[in-house]
Amino acid sequence: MDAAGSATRSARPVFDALASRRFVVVSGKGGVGRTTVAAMCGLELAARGAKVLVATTGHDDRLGWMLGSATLTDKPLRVAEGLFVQRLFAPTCIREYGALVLRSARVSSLVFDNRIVARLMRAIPGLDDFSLLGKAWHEAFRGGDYDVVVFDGPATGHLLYTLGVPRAILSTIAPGPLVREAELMQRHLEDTERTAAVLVGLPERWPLTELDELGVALRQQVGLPVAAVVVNGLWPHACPGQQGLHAGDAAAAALQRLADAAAVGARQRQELAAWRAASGASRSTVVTLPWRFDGAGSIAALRSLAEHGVVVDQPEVAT
Amino acid sequence: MTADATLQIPATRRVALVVGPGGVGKTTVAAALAVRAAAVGRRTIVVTIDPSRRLAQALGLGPSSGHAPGDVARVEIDGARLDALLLDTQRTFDTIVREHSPNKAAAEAMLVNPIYRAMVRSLGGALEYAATAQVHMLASSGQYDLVVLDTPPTANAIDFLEAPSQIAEVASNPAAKFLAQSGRLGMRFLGLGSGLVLKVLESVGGGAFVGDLGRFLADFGAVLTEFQRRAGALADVLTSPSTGVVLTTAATEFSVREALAFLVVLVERKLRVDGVILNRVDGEVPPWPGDDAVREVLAREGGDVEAALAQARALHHDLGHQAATARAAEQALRERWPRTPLVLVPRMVPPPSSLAELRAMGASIWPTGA
Repeated sequence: MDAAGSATRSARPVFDALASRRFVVVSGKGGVGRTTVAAMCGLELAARGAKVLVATTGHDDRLGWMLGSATLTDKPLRVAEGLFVQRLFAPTCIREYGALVLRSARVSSLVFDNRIVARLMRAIPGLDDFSLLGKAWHEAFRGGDYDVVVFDGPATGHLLYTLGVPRAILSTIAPGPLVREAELMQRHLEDTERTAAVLVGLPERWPLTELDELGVALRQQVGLPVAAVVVNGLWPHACPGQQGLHAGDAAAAALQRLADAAAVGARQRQELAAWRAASGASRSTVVTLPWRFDGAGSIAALRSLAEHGVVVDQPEVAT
Repeated sequence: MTADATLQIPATRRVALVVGPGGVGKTTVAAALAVRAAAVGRRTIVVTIDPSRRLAQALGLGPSSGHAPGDVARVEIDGARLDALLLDTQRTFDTIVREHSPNKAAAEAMLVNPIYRAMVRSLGGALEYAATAQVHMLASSGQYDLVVLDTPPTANAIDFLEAPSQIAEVASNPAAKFLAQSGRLGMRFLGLGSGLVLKVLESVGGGAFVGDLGRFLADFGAVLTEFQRRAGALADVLTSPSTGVVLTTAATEFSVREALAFLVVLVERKLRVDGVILNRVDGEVPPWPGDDAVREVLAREGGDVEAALAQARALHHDLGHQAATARAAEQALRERWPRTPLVLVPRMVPPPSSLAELRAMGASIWPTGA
């Protein structure tokens, strides 16, 4: 039993289950470690023998940095055995989509590299989101190059919008090639066997409650099932030496500093317990990841992070 | 960087842009600065994008307070007053459309245009454009001595700085007029005929879409041009001497790497950087007192002393590692930007979010508040 009040066990089965999916959407609010979790999932799934692409819509290079690459480009880059990373860049995705529609990469470049067309394309609402999601989906279900695509997608604020684009297309646009694509995409998003979302949050009660609400909205509005809620950055709470400490001990200053750190972890566990007690409706599996004092900025650190992942909450059987 | 422990912002600043990489605590810093300015009696408003629920509540922006996004909320701080605004892209654009359309009927037609409504929600750069425009409108309203903007989460400074001109460029597309007038025919005039472009565009948006888009862009471009003609170019707001930048970063390797890149761009673009806030700094850890000194304490607790010792030693090592990372971050900033004031803010878990906590943070970062 841990302080959050339940038996703990390894998160390995959660990764095992994700490895059988084709499309894993990772999201969370800015700064919670979304990209870290996406990279970690990528490593874990690749370690299970899958050929994995982690595709990010973020504009920074962090996904590359943490996996040992100095940069991150719009071309897939191999960073570990079976693991590739790529930045999804809307204009590139649109040109590639154009090549599919026009059945020629050369003609597509001719059209989309035209400056006036490029500007017009940028003005089409939703097209960027559609092209990013479409590209990730294409690699997951049609491209054939990968077994699993981990989509380090937009932050929670924008996620419903991006994932809602296929449905929006279905309800607003006249039948045509795009609608057929959107139909297929929507069917795959709703396919619990092949698609899953992983939502990431910090161990704070209200942000986690917001994450639950997002999970419900994802199921209801997009049809996308949430495989796990990952609670990232849990500080240690066990700290030896607190009870036995006397004023004037030679070890007082150092042990007090350890106690201060453990107080952070203890407080986080209270928040976690309060959230779990209140979120009876949420049936998601909860995985906690320990705070990484070294910043989780390397493949070794990410593997260790996954190893220390712990499942603290199993869905109760709905009655 | 100088050894300044606190921020000094010139009194001439009317706008403070809080910029920095994602997830470093920008929103908290922006709120703390605004709370401080308000507490010393300046008429202040903070414009924020995506605050945590608790922070929003502290600023009077919570859903329970009855405020809709885009409404100005007001909180009291020791008898002083702080205004806060949750940026609502749609409402900011609606205001621009209402005030700068050729007539009321044209404005109403645009406000209900589905392309317009989708555009303000999803077009890349629309959020950044709205943020800059909103700050500009507030600063020139004469109601405030200081407008603090918590900038949208962009990975680099260029994304934020270039967004206004990107939107203007989209709206001023020379193709728009042709498309508006003649649809298919217009595409041929532009030399893009042969149906290829149309095939793609129409497969994206349906049959009548190209003409609709062209008409919308022509009208919308006219509105933005009129707005900028009356208000002055938005890009000038950013480089004006009355605008200062407070770069915020967390004391981690990756954040500082990104912050250093931000600084280069900000300076190149002639923005005035008033200071750098290094957030979430872990202070020095007292040295390990020696195994025996620790054993002495642990023995009083009973249990497996050696196991407890190993645990304590591991945690001490981890904390030391984290403090060293913060020190390296500080050093990297000081070395590269020796003359820019650097303010260190200790790590707080969870980050400050009540008004009292923000007040304390603001007072320590920026004691003068003016």
